[in-house]
This record gives sequence, C-alpha cells and structure tokens, in this order.
Amino acid sequence: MKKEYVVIGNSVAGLSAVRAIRAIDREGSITVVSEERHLPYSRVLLTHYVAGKLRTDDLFLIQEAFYQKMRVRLLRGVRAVRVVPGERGVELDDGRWLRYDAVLVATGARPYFPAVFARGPEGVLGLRTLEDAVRIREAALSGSQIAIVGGGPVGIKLACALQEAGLSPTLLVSSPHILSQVADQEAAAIIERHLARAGVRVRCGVNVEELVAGRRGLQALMLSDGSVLACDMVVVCKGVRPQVELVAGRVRVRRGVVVDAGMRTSAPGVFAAGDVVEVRDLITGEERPSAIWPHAAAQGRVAGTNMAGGRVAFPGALQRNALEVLGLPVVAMGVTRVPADPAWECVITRSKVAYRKLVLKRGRLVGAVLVGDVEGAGIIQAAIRRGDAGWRQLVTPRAS
Amino acid sequence: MLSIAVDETRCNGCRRCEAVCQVVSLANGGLALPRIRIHRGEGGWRVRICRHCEQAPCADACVSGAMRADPARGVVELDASRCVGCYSCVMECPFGAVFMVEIEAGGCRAVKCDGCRERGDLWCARYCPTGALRAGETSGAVATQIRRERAWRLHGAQPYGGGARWR
Ligand SMILES: Cc1cc2nc3c(=O)[nH]c(=O)nc-3n(C[C@H](O)[C@H](O)[C@H](O)COP(=O)(O)OP(=O)(O)OC[C@H]3O[C@@H](n4cnc5c(N)ncnc54)[C@H](O)[C@@H]3O)c2cc1C
Repeated sequence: MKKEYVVIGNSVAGLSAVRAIRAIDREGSITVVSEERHLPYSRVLLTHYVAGKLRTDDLFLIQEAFYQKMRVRLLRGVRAVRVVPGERGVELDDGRWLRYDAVLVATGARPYFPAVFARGPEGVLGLRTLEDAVRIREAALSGSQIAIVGGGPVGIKLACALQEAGLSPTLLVSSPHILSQVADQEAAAIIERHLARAGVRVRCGVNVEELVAGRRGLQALMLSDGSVLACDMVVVCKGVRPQVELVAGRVRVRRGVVVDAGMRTSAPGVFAAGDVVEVRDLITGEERPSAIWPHAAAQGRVAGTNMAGGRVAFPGALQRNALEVLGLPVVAMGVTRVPADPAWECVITRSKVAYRKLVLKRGRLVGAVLVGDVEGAGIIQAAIRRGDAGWRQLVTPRAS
Repeated sequence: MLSIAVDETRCNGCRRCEAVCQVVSLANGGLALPRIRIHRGEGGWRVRICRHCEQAPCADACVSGAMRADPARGVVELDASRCVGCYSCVMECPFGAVFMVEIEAGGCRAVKCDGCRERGDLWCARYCPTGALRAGETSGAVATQIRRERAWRLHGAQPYGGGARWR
C-alpha cells in the first residue's frame, strides 16, 4: 500500500523530513503545504540581506528541481487550517482536504509582540519573513530612523546589519545587559563594547512604554527612562511563539507542540518538528520551545524517518547560538549563567582578544561561552553532550 | 565511498599530513592551508580532520546551504562560495575539523577536508607513516572503528538512535 505523507511547512524542518522520508520510502506520495509562496529560504540569512551582503536570490536553500527529484507535490501559498487526527486529514484554506497516513507539523514560529506593540501603527514589525527583511532594507535605503527592540541574537544581528548598511541604529534592551537569555554578563559587556566602538548604540535597562504615531505612521517611542526616541520604524525582536493553532485542542500543546523523542505528538500519525515544538533540554531537563536551526534540521530528519516506519530518536535539545558580531565571533552553549550554588563552578580564561568560560556542575561540563576565539567550539559541545569530567584540556585553546 | 579512519593513539605528531594537505589543496586551486590539523591534547595527539559523517552535524547546522552531506558518495561537501562565515559549523563539529579563515578584512569562510576531490584517495592517509590515518576501506575493522569513534564523539556512550539520554 502506497503511504500518503503530508508535510505542513516548507522550511528547514519540513525539507529535512522530506529527504528522510524519501530515503526510506520511494513509493509513497508526499505533499508539502506551504503558506509562503517563495521556495524555502534561510531566515538566518535575512540580516545578511538587510546588510546588503546578499541578494534575495542568495537566500534560497534549494531549487524548484528538488521537488521533482523527490517527487513531491508542493502546494504554494496554501495554508493548512487544521489537522484532524480523528479523520486522518488536513483542511486547507482553499477548501481542499488532504488525507494522510502520517502528517508533519513543521509550521515554525512567529515573532512575539509585547502588548504595547500589538496593533501598532505602520512601521512596527518583526523580522521573520523575506517580506519583513525587504521592508526593513527599503526603509534603511531611504534613510529611515530604525529602532530595534530586544537584545537577543536576532536583535543584535539586525543592529549589526543596519550598521553595515550605513545607518546608526539603536538597540533597546529591557534587561541590564544584552544576550541575557544566552550568555553571561562579562561576555555581554565585551560584545557591548565592541558594538559601541562600531557605532551601534545599545541602551540597556529601558522599556518601550508608548508608541507615538502621526498620520504617516510611527514617529517616536516613549521610553521607560522618560526619554523619547524619534524613529519611523521599530523592529521587535523579543523572541518567537510556536505556530500551534492548526493542532491546538487536538494534540497536546503547552508553549509548543509536545512531542516524544521520536517527534510524535499525542495523536497517532501526527508528528511535529522544528520551532513549533517543545523539547526536553539535555542538561536542565526543562521542556521548552526549541527555536534553533540545527534542532529543526535534526528533528525534521527524525520525524521523517519515523513517519516512513524507521525508529530513531532526537537526543534532546542543547541550547546554543553562534554569532558573528561585526567580526567578533561568539558561541554560547548549554548552561551559561551559573546559580550561586557550590555544586557549580566556572573556569575562565581571559586574554586580550578572547574570553572563554566553561561551566561545570559537580565537575561535569554543562555549558560554555566563547567570545573572540571560538576555535574548536564543537569539541566543547561534544564534551557537554557527553557530560565530560575530563574537560581540562579544553580550557586553553591550542596554539596554532 | 570515501572513508577516513582515525586512530589518534597511533599519531606521533609528525605533521606530514598537514604538509601534504597544504600542497594538494594548493594544487586543487584552493588556499595554501592545511585542512587537517594536528595538535597536542591531554594524553596524546589530536587529529583534526573531517570524518565525513553520514548525519553530519555541520550540515544540519549550516544556514546557507554551503555544507552538505552526500550520503550516496559518502562525503560532506563545502561550497565555499555560499559560506557566510557564521561559525555555526565550527560550533557543531565534534572533531574540531572546520576552520575559519579570514579571506578579506572582517570576512571569514569555513575551510575543511574536501576528500582530495578528484585526486583519488586521501593523500594525508597515503603519507601517514603510523597508520593513524587510514582511508579507502568501507568494510571490516576500519568501518567498525569509524562507526565507534563517531558514535562516541557525537553522542557519548549511547549511539545515535539508541534513545535519549537525559541527565
Ligand atoms: C532573523 C533570524 C535569524 C536567525 N538566526 C539564527 C541563527 O543564527 N542560528 C539558529 O540556529 N537559528 C536562527 N534563527 C532561527 C531559525 O531560522 C529557525 O530555528 C528555523 O527557521 C526553524 O525552522 P522551521 O522549519 O521549524 O520553521 P520556519 O522556518 O519558521 O518555517 C515554517 C514555515 O511554515 C509555514 N507555515 C506556518 N503555518 C502554516 C500553515 N498553517 N500552513 C502552511 N504553512 C505554514 C510558514 O509560512 C513557514 O514558511 C533565526 C531566525 C531569524 C528570523
């Protein structure tokens, strides 16, 4: 019997699943449902486009021929409205109904807008899609004043991109330092100094309290320190929320779709992978939205393999980020902020050009922050995954 | 199929592989840089060369489509023209075998073993005097060794697919 597969979402998790399904099942029919009309592109490269370093053509991950080669039916510009596990079908916004034996929910996430920005005037946006990036690039080229809200990796990368595009952007951060979810204070301070030297203004400890709009849209932001920042565009980079609407109420959802190690949801035949899911953290055991590219790729492969009858498991999430901040490399992995508890310790090496911190819990490696010199970071990641006690050799990078 | 078996316990640090790699890389029109690096780690030598993993973490993490695993040919290929120098692969490679080189002021690109491309079997392995690097065998002892090393490096005691190991 020919199996019918439906993949909802045509980005990294979805593509990775398609490859995995085809590697096992050459006969089954595969339909990919994509709300976006574009071929899949790399969201991570959107800031490179804003900076003017890449053209839109450079962002695409694959060509049309991929779908022919994989014998995939691609429905572009079509949204899946709901997945109905009881009837093993997916309802599409054009009224069609797709039957499935196995369906993958790979619908990703969308930017989160705090209340003050909700239903904001023209000029308030997030950065998630190619359209968002095009609007930001156009604004940058026409000399707009652009403010960025959020000191996470995306906010920082966008600030750098706008600086490279010739603007002097302002990054507004509510926490006392940037990368508060990702790195420690000392690393953040080094990166903040680097940004300041390059001409990116970073203002920490401020919130946006009100938007001031005129007839032509946004004009200024009223900030919590009493100051007013004139700007005609604000890009909100305050994290993302999984897009779970199409399965909510029919499979288990907390912050994201809940899955087991095989990427199965609570409903038989329904799988999920990528930014839409919530996964167990390898180190802390905490369940939280996944939200990084390498997880989406690996989970997509695990889901696809299992959909086609294989048996593989995703080993669990390891939060990690690699960043290039105007020439300064940064890698943060695992647990980076240490609780005041004698079971935890840090081993730090500092030099003129580098800051490298290893985080240990009861003598075992559980995290690392590397700034300025990230050479061999993957060796450290492997050691974190293994929970190595033999971490000493990792402290000093080798002299080349 | 390309296969590289590395036995670090046999490495004597002679670095002949680095020199040979540099020459071959230049002859192939690449940079005059070794794509294999040897350094002294705790208790022995570390051989940093791409193992061309079937489920390559560097390819999973590549956000630009530059790094691709081709399981049919058994190689992980890097298309340097698509690389944006984001360090994702450097963060992933458990063998520390992807290197960043500055190609212009502030602009970096990844460099790694390309399997000697069209030049036949691996030159570093051919010139390795101790057997620390072995190539060209895809079955038997070498293959087993490759699988074991990868499983350990990538996922600790539990091989990939063997279920989650929560701590
Ligand atoms: C600017 C930026 C920079 C980033 N930088 C990094 C980085 O450096 N490193 C890193 O690891 N990660 C980074 N990320 C995150 C990374 O892009 C995501 O982890 C990754 O894209 C997740 O892939 P996905 O396939 O799960 O979902 P997505 O890429 O979000 O794709 C989901 C797709 O599903 C479609 N869809 C949604 N709902 C439906 C529906 N109902 N019907 C049909 N189609 C639907 C969407 O339109 C979308 O095309 C960045 C993200 C952004 C925006």
